[in-house]
Amino acid sequence: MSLLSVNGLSVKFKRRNGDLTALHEVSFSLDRGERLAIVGESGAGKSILGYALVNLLSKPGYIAAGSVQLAGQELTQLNAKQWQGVRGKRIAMIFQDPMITLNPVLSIGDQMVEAIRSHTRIAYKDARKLAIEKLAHVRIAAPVQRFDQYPHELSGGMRQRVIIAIALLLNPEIIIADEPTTALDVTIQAEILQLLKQICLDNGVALILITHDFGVVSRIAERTLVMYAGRIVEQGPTLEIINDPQHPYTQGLLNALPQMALPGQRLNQIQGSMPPLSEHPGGCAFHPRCPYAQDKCREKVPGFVYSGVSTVACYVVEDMLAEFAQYDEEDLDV
Amino acid sequence: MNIWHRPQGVAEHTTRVRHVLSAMRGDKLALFALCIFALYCLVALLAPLLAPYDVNSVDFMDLENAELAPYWQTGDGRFLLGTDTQGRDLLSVILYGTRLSLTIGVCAVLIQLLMGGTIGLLSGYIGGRLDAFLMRAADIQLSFSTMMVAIVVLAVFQTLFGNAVYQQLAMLMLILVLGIAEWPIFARIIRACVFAEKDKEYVDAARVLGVSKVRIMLRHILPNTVSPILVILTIQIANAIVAEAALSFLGLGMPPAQPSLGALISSGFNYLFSGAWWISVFPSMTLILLIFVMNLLGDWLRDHLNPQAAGG
Amino acid sequence: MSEPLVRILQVEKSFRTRSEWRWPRMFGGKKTSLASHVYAINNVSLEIERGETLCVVGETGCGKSTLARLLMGLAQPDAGVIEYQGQRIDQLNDKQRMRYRKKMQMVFQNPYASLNPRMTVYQILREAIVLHHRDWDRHQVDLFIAELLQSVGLSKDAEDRYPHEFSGGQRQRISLARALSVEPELIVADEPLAALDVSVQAQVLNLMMDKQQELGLTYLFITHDLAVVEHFATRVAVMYLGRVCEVAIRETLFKAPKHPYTQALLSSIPRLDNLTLEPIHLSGEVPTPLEKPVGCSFCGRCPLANQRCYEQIPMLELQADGSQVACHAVAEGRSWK
Repeated sequence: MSLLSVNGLSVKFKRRNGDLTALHEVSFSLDRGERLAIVGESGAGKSILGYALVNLLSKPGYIAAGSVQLAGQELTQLNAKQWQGVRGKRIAMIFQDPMITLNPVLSIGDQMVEAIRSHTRIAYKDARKLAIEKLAHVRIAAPVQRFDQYPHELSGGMRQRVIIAIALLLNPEIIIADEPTTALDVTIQAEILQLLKQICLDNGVALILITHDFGVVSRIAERTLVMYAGRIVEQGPTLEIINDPQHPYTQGLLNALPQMALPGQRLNQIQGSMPPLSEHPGGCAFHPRCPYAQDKCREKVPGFVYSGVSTVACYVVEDMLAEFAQYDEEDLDV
Repeated sequence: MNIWHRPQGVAEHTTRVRHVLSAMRGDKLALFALCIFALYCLVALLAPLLAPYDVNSVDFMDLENAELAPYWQTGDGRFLLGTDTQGRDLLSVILYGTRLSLTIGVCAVLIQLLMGGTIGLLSGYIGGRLDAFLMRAADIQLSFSTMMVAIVVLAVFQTLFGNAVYQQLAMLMLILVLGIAEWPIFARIIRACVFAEKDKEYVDAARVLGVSKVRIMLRHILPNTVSPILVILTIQIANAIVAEAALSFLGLGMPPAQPSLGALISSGFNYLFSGAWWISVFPSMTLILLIFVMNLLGDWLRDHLNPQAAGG
Repeated sequence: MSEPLVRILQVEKSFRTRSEWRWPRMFGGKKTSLASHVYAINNVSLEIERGETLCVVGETGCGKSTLARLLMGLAQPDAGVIEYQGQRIDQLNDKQRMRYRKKMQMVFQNPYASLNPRMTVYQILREAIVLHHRDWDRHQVDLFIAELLQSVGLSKDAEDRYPHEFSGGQRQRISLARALSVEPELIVADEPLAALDVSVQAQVLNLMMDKQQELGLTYLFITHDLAVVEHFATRVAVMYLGRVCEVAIRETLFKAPKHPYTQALLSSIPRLDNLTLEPIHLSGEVPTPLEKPVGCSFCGRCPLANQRCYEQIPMLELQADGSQVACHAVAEGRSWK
């Protein structure tokens, strides 16, 4: 059984004149110790998905349908008190800006000890020991001294390490990291990614990495979900998606990267941009930008089809597969 | 290097107006406050037409009619809300008083806005020593309480020039005193806004194009500080009206011949417990309701002009 | 050799971290100020050739944005010379600068902040055009605005809309249109893609390349994204902590990076075409330059540093393949491992 399974999860935003749908029936699963990346551009709903998983949607947003199960336990029905035992303990979160999570007026040690003691009954001394151990685990030099420092005394990369250490405190089963390296410089980014990967390997923690950067994905994730306008459009093993993208959007996204064109040549751009929440088009949401769009793409949302090791929601791929299947049959007949 | 993932500072200008209006429609309390306020403004503008009696005519004041109770107690159809100690029709006087109070409040705040706006813009945009100097001046000004300054200035003026001159110039003096005493409030807010705006890239872009300093200040920065100005504008007008009423109540405001709401309350106050409660109570209620709706509006504007609240 | 379009010579710039007004000395103000300085740019020399795309790469706080601001006259250098076609432009007043404003323009990083939210696209463009073509009548201006919008791929009905009605990519197009409205020779672009999505980045980058071909523009392109640099640059300057540590033509830099920092930087971009490449780990992070460094600014994190690096500032030296590198280790032939 998979560790986390999400089924038909829909998130809506309450508005006076009709609710807006931010996530349309998202389903996926995550195994123990698996590293999964959720990729998409801004507005794809990837962060909303992350927040919805741990029930941290801000006010007008709410889960309209679907289920989220953590090792068989339904999470969408939990009350605030029951969430306490899950969020931070079994599922930890890492955000883009470390200062969101860190309280600037408390020393990082106090914050870590508080995090431990709010979940388990443990003496201050032991909590401190555990915290220092975790700080050392994320390769912070001189953890005993760092323990008493305040967030503003640390550099950006160091803060993100502290955040990772805090996430690790209660030995979670899943870490959800929302753009953990976007605010950092490239050289630091590389280190933090390495660290995250190592930590997942060491502790058997599953990772959900939310990012817009395929470069980051390629470094760390085993499996990738590509999201567009609130839907998953393609999922599969990372290498497969990067080397052989099936969905026109994934193809476009990867082809638009500068390294995919010869220096000085025009880049392969996708026309237009992601529609805002209020203007999600009917049918396949990508059809206005898709070079292969047909009539049926405009009318009905495509279902998922298996294409090799990935699953793709696209009529073009579906038709192609059907055609291949027909050839195969003809071959058999002959 | 920040990477912005969400549009920031959305909802501006046209949508701001549209947004405010549509939000207003949804919020019953705000709509109510706006209606009442509009009614007050209308009354203030049309007081000469609405009032049953002309306050400036000679026979308006008739001591024979002094201290008549309201219509529903006496059945006297001539004076709907009764009359005051000098026999004036209370309704007419309240209508005119509202007009006076609102005029003084608005004019005083316009002076505040003009002074504070100029000083705030200069201080924020030029910065450095000028800023430090102007802001210290503002600090000093604010450390004298408005009422204290007003009382001293008005009392000195009254004794220096005598009551006759004072009666003529009372309104002007009130406007000036209230206006000048509170400019630092606007100056500070506008300066803070300018500080925030002037480091934005669109100002740099204008500079790179060679747009002149004055134009940058007036055309680029000023329009972007409108929202907070609007909010304090409402609240400051309410404050100025209250201050004027308080001064009048203390006998330093409008003279009894031209009573503002404060002066009316004051003149009726002595009779409050001797039976003629209406002289004081009606103007008080008028004043309280006005201040209440203005504060409601101010609070509401603050909530809805805030880009974070208004953004999507 | 022809004269470069822009020459930046030994420019320095520092900022006071506290800029409060203190009492003038006659009131007993102290001579020694408590304010500390951040040395943003230390002795930087660069040349921009006509028609090229010079990319300046570096991490946060390396002074690359400050360099752009100095060039555009948004800040004045503490020392050094900036020349435009042989004319000094670093000490001009507003009036004298007007001539050069027409020749060089800037595109900013954050498309959500670089357009005045209270002005329509028409007003934004008109302001720029009218300023530099005072004799044009309304009709000419209107025609030119329509032409500009079309040339950056926006439709005519964009004119009367406000910036917030556009997406990030479209706003960056408007920014570019504004920069192009004075028909400049040089465009300084400060991280113009950083705030955009991948698919939109490609659109804007394509547009910038098209315009360069069409109008013969010169770009000074400031970025931290090496993938973009590799695609777009003619020459690359790598900056670290207020100094230029390597300048080279693109091919040379990406094929044979010499400065240890450049090497580390190149190895840490996640690449899709080479998934096995392991990044070179640098110890520590970019410090804030609160003191004028005495040695090489990279020495604190450099694995090749020796005593000399801490004591002597390395100068840019011409290498055999035409690149310029400021590094003692390269000069002495010290290398990795």
